[in-house]
Amino acid sequence: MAIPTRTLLRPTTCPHCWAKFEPQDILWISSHSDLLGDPRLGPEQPQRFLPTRFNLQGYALDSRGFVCQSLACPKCHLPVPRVLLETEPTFLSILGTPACGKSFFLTALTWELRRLLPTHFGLSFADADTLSNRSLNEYEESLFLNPKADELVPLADLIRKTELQGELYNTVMYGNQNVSYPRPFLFTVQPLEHHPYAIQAPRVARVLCLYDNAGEHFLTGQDSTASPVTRHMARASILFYLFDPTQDPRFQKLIRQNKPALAGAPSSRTSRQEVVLQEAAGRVRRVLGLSQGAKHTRPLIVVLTKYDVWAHLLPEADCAEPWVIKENLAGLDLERIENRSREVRALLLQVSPELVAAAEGFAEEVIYVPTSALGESPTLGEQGKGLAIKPAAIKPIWATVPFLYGMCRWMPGLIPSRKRRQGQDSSADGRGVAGRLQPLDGFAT
Amino acid sequence: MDAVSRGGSSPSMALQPDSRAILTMSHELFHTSAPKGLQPGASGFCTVAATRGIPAALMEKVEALSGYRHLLSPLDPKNPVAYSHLRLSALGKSYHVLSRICAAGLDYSQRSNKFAHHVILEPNELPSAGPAWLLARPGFMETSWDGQIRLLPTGRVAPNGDAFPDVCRAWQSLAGDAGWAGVLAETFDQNTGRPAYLLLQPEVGALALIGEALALLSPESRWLVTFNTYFTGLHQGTPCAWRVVFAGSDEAKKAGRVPGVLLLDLTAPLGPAQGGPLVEEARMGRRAAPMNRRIVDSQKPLEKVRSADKSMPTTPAALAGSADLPPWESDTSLPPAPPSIPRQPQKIAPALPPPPLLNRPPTVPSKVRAKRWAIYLLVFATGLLSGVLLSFAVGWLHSVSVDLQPKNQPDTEEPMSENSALNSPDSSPPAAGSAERDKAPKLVRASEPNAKEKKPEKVPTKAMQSASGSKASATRAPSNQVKDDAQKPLKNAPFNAATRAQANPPATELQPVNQFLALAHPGGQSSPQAEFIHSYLYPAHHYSFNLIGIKELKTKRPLKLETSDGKLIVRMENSGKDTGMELARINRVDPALEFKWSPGNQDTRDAQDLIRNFAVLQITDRETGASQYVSLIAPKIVKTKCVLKEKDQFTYVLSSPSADLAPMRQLVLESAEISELGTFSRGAAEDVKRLACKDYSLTLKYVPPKLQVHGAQFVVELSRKGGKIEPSELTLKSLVVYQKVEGRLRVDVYIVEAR
Repeated sequence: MAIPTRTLLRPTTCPHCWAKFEPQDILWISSHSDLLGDPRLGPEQPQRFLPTRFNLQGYALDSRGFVCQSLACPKCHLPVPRVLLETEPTFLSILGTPACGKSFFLTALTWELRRLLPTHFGLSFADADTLSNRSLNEYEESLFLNPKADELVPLADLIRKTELQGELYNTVMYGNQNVSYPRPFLFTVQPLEHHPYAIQAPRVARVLCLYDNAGEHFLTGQDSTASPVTRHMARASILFYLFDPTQDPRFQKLIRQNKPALAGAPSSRTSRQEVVLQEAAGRVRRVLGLSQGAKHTRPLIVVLTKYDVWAHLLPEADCAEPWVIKENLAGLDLERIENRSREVRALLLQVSPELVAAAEGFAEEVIYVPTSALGESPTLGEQGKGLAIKPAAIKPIWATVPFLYGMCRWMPGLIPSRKRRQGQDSSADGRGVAGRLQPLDGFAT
Repeated sequence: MDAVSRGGSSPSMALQPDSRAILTMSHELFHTSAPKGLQPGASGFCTVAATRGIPAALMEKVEALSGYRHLLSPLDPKNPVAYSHLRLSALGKSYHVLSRICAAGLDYSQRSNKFAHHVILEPNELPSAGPAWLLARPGFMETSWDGQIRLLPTGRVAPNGDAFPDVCRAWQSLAGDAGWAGVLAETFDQNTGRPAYLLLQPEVGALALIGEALALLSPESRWLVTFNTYFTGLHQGTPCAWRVVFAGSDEAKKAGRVPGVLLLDLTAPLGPAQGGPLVEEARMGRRAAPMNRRIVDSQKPLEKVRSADKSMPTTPAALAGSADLPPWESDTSLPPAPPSIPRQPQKIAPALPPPPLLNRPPTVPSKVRAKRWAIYLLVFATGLLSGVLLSFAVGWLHSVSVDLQPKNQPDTEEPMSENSALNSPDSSPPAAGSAERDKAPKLVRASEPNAKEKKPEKVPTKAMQSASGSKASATRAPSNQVKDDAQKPLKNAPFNAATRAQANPPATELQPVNQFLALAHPGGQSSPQAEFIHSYLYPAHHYSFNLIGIKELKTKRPLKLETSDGKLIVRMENSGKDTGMELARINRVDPALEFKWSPGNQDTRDAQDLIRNFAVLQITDRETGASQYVSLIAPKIVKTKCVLKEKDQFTYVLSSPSADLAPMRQLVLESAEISELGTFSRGAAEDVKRLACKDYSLTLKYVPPKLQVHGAQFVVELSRKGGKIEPSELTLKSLVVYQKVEGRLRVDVYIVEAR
């Protein structure tokens, strides 16, 4: 009988406080209801302890002899799913100004990934911790499984404005200092049987850690010791910066010029969005100890949201999914994505060049991807109820492309790519994708 | 927008103007979503108005209390309003934060919005009537933001006023018996640390319920009660005693699982409440002499109100007419009051003369209590001295054969013996503060005989559900809690929990003792008496062993695990700097397993190095494929230090909640000035030492050679004579330390704050 082996990571990273720790230091959470009181989490939380007794299944016994199954970070004492001891966590940061569409993008992304990854890419995409993912799951239900799918529903009813306090955050007490951490959304991505790397599933599998920050967190002065809610950016393997062209007055003007039908639409508020990117760059440099002129080695994907509103500004409004299917397995068409990136970058250079400068001054590799989480522009609802949309009409456009591209490029072994045409070099013009691309072969990764 | 225009300096509310200058200044803070905030660069959810000079640390903490969850659509006016009174510390000062947080439609970005108004008061600004009364004052809390981003020159002045118990009509309407307000009040009075949940339908106005129950307490106690009328979670470090949760919510479900809480399900009539005098007061009301003062400092004109005043509506009709309460409260009619609970006529007779407020036993202020204690002690000491002198005199007279009739004093013998017990060396000195009262209910009983504590009381199970599901605790009334505590005076909540758990049988996972894997200390053989780890295995199964997670090895010998016949069964997975070293051998000695360090590793010095930072021994059952992990932790002695900021007399209570401990020896408490404060000799939960010292530095140290505990946990509880220890007074309020001594054991030490 083959003995299943578990290879523990050394070390692993807490998705809450981002502390690295060895697996033997992990704490267990008492299960007996009398064992309450934790110095970090308060008197009503179960005790955390470092066990010395285990049962045959490998679960620790608390001081009452009850089997415990939940684990906790030795630093912040917040629950850590067991899979994080065995599977490498990958942090992905989504940042942007308030109301740029982060929550909608995140919701559309995860919903689409649940559908696409198993059917097209031979990967399972599942909740690693349903409890911490609950808010996001509710968002998904609200957008895509809404019982009033054929009625106009105010956007404010679909996804609430992200709060700065409450259920999306965990507060930990270090002595007298309270620290508020964003609650992560954790997903496991691992190859299914028909994936080329199914045999090496433990090696290529990942735990994805995503965060739904409020846009306010990225504003100047909002990162503090008590609220280090954006420090995941320094740990992130890929940074997704969401840029909302409809908040840029220059884009607004261009949109109305080219699409007179929108002239009567309520004008969106405006804001300087590159400031958020510069602030994020400053924070990452501070945490990582980079010099002011140094570029971050992790890629930056600039996601231009609400594509459905401004798609006509690009030369070709190609909304088809950028992958090809061969032998029941899809390969990402990197060329198409990069071509589209060049077009978007050219548009940005024309309209808001300071954003391109900020992005490419921050990261070594930058790619620009247009997306739309809703796929259709909301309309003005009833008086005083703001913008509304029929949930049945929500059809995300390229919502997963930034993520799939990032996985394909920087998380080897998961997403195959389409073989590049000979003589085609993405870095030929040197722009569109800032920096150079790794050579990719067919379905090899 | 019906915001109250404040025009900057003075609040234009329907409040009584204060006739005197208030030396201290309250603070205010408005938090909502706006295109621009008060701070440069702020937008979205941010502070839009605040009092000039509000400390940044205080502002940050108060902003963190602004969370709100829409129960309904953000545009639905029936979203509940969260009224709360919380206490927090900032910059070494304590503050009372009154908050009103509500839904606020859509914000500038057409997304859901909220509005939070916080009023921050200092202890000398508190009106006697209590926080719920103040929150309900018309115009005192803003209901919306007027759109002006500004610094407020001053905070608003809290009107003065007092409230005294009246018939708790809101409770009567909902619970069927107004006495449940008294149950809630008594629960807090008896144990301030015990949370209470009120389970309500969202349409019901909870502030009136809270206000009625608060009015039953003494003015000082009213401001000790923290509450939230729409509780969506506990903010760390900010306790909340009374929590209103709505039926069907996650919080309501969680409330049913938290052990030891009081859970009052007010979604349906509860039946008759039973309890002490506050229950009766809640039913019949009581007019007491108004206390013309603030809690600390009062010369202010008093605004007298009753709890049934229009500012604190308690009846459905009054609720409907309340201008202060939000529309959903006033639009909704409460269910009709069920028929009155039959009870003794004399108990509900309105003509009963109400006793003075301060004479009510459960609500005696701590200062009064302290004075009373001092008087009792003085009387007791005088009596004792007189008795001793009298006995001496009688003895002397006997010795000289003088035939005198001895004077017996039967009236004083009984109390003397009781009081003597209280002052025994094993107990702490008599305590007068509320914290001591909580810890040692005997003291309360001795000083304030109270009939309610002796009454057997039964409370309907539905009304008071304990989250642990334990029926015994589910039906236990607050007064019974006192009785329990009185029987075990040295145990507080965790220790009681430990004691309760002792009744539980051991987990079924524990196998007979001959089926364990015992790892001896490096250099020694395993045996049940000298076990390092204690892991249970099935003797008929085959296991493989895998040492993983090693961080540091300081010897250069090969590391591997072999069976007794020399077959290699384990190879180290560690890829650290020191790998490939032989560590030990595993022998199957049926039915147990014997572990022995390899000959090359039996040197004591090497053994110390070897075991350092060993992480996990993975033991895989080859029959089932299941693995278990056993931690092998480095031997390391860690000292725990707890520093208190004030010089005062503290009482340290040590106990061990672990029920399965081997005898514990020589846990030594040391301070900077006293070498040994005391020792803790046994690990049983009942064996609790109370050690008093007049020092404010405490060090815990373990004496390794004498420790024979396996997986012990110790609790050091701090209490202070004459009062409670505030969390802010402790440099290390609460600490967990995992001790590894001589590679034998792990000891957890918890320092918990006193309650």
